Parts: sequence; structure tokens; C-alpha cells
Amino acid sequence: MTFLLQLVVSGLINGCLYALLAVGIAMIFKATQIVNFAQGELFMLGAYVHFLGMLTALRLPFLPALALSLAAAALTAVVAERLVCRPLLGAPIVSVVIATIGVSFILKGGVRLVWGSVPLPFRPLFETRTVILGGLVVPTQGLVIICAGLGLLGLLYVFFQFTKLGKMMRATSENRTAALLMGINVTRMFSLAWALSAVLAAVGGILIGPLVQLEPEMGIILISAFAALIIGGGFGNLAGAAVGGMLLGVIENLVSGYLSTALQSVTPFVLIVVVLAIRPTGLFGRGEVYRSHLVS
Amino acid sequence: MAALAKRTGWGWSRALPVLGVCVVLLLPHVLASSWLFIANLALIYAVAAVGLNIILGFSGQFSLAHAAFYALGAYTTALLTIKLGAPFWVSLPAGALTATVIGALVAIPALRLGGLFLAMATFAFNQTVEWILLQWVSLTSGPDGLPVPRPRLGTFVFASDVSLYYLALVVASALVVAASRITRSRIGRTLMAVRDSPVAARSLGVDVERYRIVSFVLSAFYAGVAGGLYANVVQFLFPAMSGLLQVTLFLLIVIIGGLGSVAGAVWGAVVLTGVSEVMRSFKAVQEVVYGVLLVLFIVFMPHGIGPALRAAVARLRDAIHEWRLAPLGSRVAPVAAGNPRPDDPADGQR
Repeated sequence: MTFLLQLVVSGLINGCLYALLAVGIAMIFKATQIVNFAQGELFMLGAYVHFLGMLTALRLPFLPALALSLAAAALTAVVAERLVCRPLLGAPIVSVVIATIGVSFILKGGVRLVWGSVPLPFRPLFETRTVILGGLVVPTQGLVIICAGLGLLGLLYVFFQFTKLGKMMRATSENRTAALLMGINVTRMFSLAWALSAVLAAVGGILIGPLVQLEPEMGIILISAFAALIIGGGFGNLAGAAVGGMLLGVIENLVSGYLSTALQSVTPFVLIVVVLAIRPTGLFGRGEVYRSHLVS
Repeated sequence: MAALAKRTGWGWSRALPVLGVCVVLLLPHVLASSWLFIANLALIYAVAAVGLNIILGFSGQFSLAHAAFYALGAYTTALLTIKLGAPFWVSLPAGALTATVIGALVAIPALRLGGLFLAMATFAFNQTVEWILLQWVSLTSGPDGLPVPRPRLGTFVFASDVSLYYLALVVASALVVAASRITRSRIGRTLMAVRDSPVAARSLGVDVERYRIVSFVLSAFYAGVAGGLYANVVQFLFPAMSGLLQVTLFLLIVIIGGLGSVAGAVWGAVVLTGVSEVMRSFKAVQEVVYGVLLVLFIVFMPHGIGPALRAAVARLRDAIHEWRLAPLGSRVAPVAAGNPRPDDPADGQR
């Protein structure tokens, strides 16, 4: 029993990261009908800029470094949206997806040019200690990830539900024309959605940084985010994305704990294929939202 | 040349293809060995890109699994050669067959998915194949890569790169010609009808699902042959053949050549293979260049370089035509004599 609980709790650590990325992708999709294949690279970029740029090269203290790296990620996303995705509004989904794949390669290659391909370790932020909570061993950084992840998702909920800006964004994704007629600056909402989701991704990268080695291929976590979205029921479902992310983290850990560690990395791929084949509306998907995306 | 053309009654339109064939046939005897390798690779990529164009350009289904079929074809061919000592005329078709069968198996669940979700599922399939190639070390030797012996035909061993060039050339030309025939046939036209409007195609009695499977199978077959050729020509396989960079390269070839153009895919392969091999040792530069090219082409030349060039030439021709039609007086530069610009420093000296 303790073993199972231990697996679930460690799974939630990864699950928070998947949730952060998946919610970001869902947000961009809701706002602009674009699936951002560069989300994983924003995650990687956040970690690189924070740890190697701000903390190591510029020797900034933690909080300014955090603020600057989040700003850098947001700026990158806004520029990518403006230069690449805005001209493609209304273009076929194939074109848009290929364009964001292009963006992801530019970011990955750019990071490789600056920092090289060798996986880089760095001095951990907090001491890599573990705490024991009711018989469960949790690394401190894991607790930080869970708290920060859940906190951010909660903040996001409050933002969309109760603030004027959040309501404006929801209105834009509901009906672009009507929002425009109500005096909402629709293109600014697009930029805002990209910036916010870049911040979420970068936070994820910065949170996981101390537990892994940084490498340009980190962005492959994107597939897990996709799996989270598909489990959660589609690209426009923010709550589903968050829950799907957590679930995926737990499932992955259960697979690695009870079956084999090697299978862990293939779990998201298999889940994508299986869920799409058996129940393409996801676990919490509503059919009507989905059907419109099913037909190309 | 003009006199020759007059005497034989051959215009440029007939002479150029013959010239092209001569160049292609004589190419391996002129090229340096490193460029010959690139030429071989270009032939292989041309086959793969034509296959991707069948599913992406003609059938309009967004499959990101092309590199997986390519790697499956390559590894099957290689393993048959290594473990069973099969000659290439057995192992190459067997590799293609494996890719085709798996393509059909992937196509059946993929039928339910359109657009985005198909992309996602095929992307996941692609990564799964790469994972299997990495993990099944006893069979594929995993991340170390798999060396393959040179292909043989009876007692004849393809010992030189020149002979490999001709081998690849024969296979590639046969497949490219076949593809251009298929895409102009009833099948090709039906695929395009299904792409442009599945509903309209269905109402005309087209079995949409069957044609979607057909396009999947055809493209997997091309990818499998390309992979088998790669195993024979390059003689070294690695799991990243099924990786994201490989998919992106194929996508880029098709996009640059133009979606739905067989000839474009071939040209794209020739150009892109050269570009990517020059940058081979600089992975970072390769990634940035691929990314920038993808974005530029999707945003500014979504129909590929052919139509873009044609449009540019047409614009130029129009401009020249207008210039020649214009009355002589207006041809003179806008700054006419006796009306000097006040800020022209040369004025004072005159």
C-alpha cells in the first residue's frame, strides 16, 4: 500500500509538469485554433535561460532571474505568434502545425548553438533533501513542484473565472467576431494567450531543472503533454488537460513501478494511440466539442 | 545547336529531357566520392519524399509516421541480409512489404481520425518505433547502430559507390515514374477528390475509407523501399532514422518541392539532401536552418518553390513586356536633363 501511494505521489510530481504544458497548449488552441508543437521547446528554453543564462552567466539572485527568464519565454512566444502564426490564421491545420514544428526546431537549434548539446548539470537550488510525509519519501523539490504547479493552476482558474482580462480571453475564444464587436482587442488576446502559456511551460522547465540534466532534447516532453490532452478530452479543455496531466504522471509511474522502468518512456505514446483508437473523446471529453476537430 | 535543332526537327522541349537523362547517367563518373554519396542519398530521399507527398499532398492526411515506415523498411532489409544472408532483390522487397503491411495496420485505426488527431497518433507511432529500435538491443544493436554488408546480386557484389548509384537510380526512377502515373490515374484523381471534399466524394459513390487506406499503404510502401535502399547504399542504420529530425527533413522536402507534385518532391530531395549533408556535422545549424526554411516556405510559399518561381518569372516577363511596349520617351530615366535634383552633389561640378 505504501509502495502504491509512493508511486502515486511521485507520479504527481511529473504530472504537474505535464499539466502545466498541456494547459498551455489548450490555452493557445482555445484562443487561436493552433496546436503549438513548440511548447516543449519553450519549457526547455525557460530552464536554459534561467539556470545557465540568468543564474550562471549573469549571476543574478533567484527571484530576478526567475522573472527575467519567464519574461524571455513569454517574449519568444509572442514574437513567434506574431511572425509565424498570425499570418497563418485560417490556414489549414497542416500548415500551422508544420510552422510550429519549424519554430520548435529554431528554438532547439538556437539553444544548441548557445549552450551546446552536452547535458549540463548545475548547482541545485534547494538542497536535494527528502522529507518523509506519513511514511512516504518525497524530495523537497518534488514538494515545491506539486505546490507551485497546483498553485499556478489554481491562479489560472481564478484568472479565467473572475478577472475582466480572463473573461475577455474566454469571450475571444468563444466567438472571435462577437468579441471584436464588443471592443475587445482580439489580437492582443492572442498574444496574451501565447505569453501566458509560455510562462506556464517555462515555470515547468525551471521547476524540473534541479532534478534532471538540461539538454536541448528536453522538449520531447511535448508528447507527454499531448497524451495528457488526449486523455483529458481534447485540445480546448483546460480542466481536462490539467487532470489528464496528473493522471498521465501517475499512470507512467505505476507502469514503471509494477511493469518495467523501460516502459515508462513509451507509456505516453501507447496511451495516445490507445485512447484515440478506443475513445477519441478522451475520458472527460464532450462529444460535440470533439467532433468538429475530428473531420479535417 | 540551333542548326542541329532545325535539321533534326527537335526543339529544346524535346532535347532537354534527353540531355537531362545523359547528365543523370554520366553523373557518378564526374562527381567526387563525397558528392556521389550525397547523390545516392538524394535518390533515396526522393523516393521517400514522393511517398510522403502521396499521403500529405495528394490525399491530404497529415501523417507524421513516415520516418517510422522508412526505418522499418531499412531495419527489415538489413536484418534479412545480416541474419539470413538474403540477396538484396529479396531483402529490399521484403523490407518494403513489412513497411506496407504495418502501414495498413496503422491506417485502419487512423481512419477514424482526421487532421490534428491523425498527426498526433502518427507522431506517437513514430516515436514508439524509434523507442523499439533503441530498446531491442539484441536485434537492432540499439543506439550503437547497425552495420549492413554491401548488397550482392548472385556473385556480383556492389562494391563501388558508382554501382550503388545505378542501383538506387533504377529503383528510384521506376518508383517516381510509377508515382507520377498513379497520381494521374483514377486513383490519384480520387485521392484528390477525397482530400478536397470527403463528403462530396462520398456522395459520388467513392469509398472514402478505402482510398484513405490506399494512400497510407502506398506511402508506407515508398518509405519502406527508401529505407531498404538506404540500408543497401549507406550500409549503416541507427534508431534516429525514425526520429523527429528525419520526419522534419521529409516534410521540408515535400513542402519546398510543393505539396501534390511528384516532380517537386524529387527536386526538393536533390536540393535539400545537398543542403543537409553540407551541415551534417553542425546539428544546431541544421536544426535552425530546417526550422527557418519550414517557416519561410509555409508562410510565404505554401505551394512550394515551383509555383513561386513560375509566378516570379511571369511577373518579370510581364514587366519586360510592358517596358518594351512603352513609348520610347518614357523609357528614359525619370530624372530628365535640365531638371536636376537640388541635392545632387555632382551638379556643382558640371
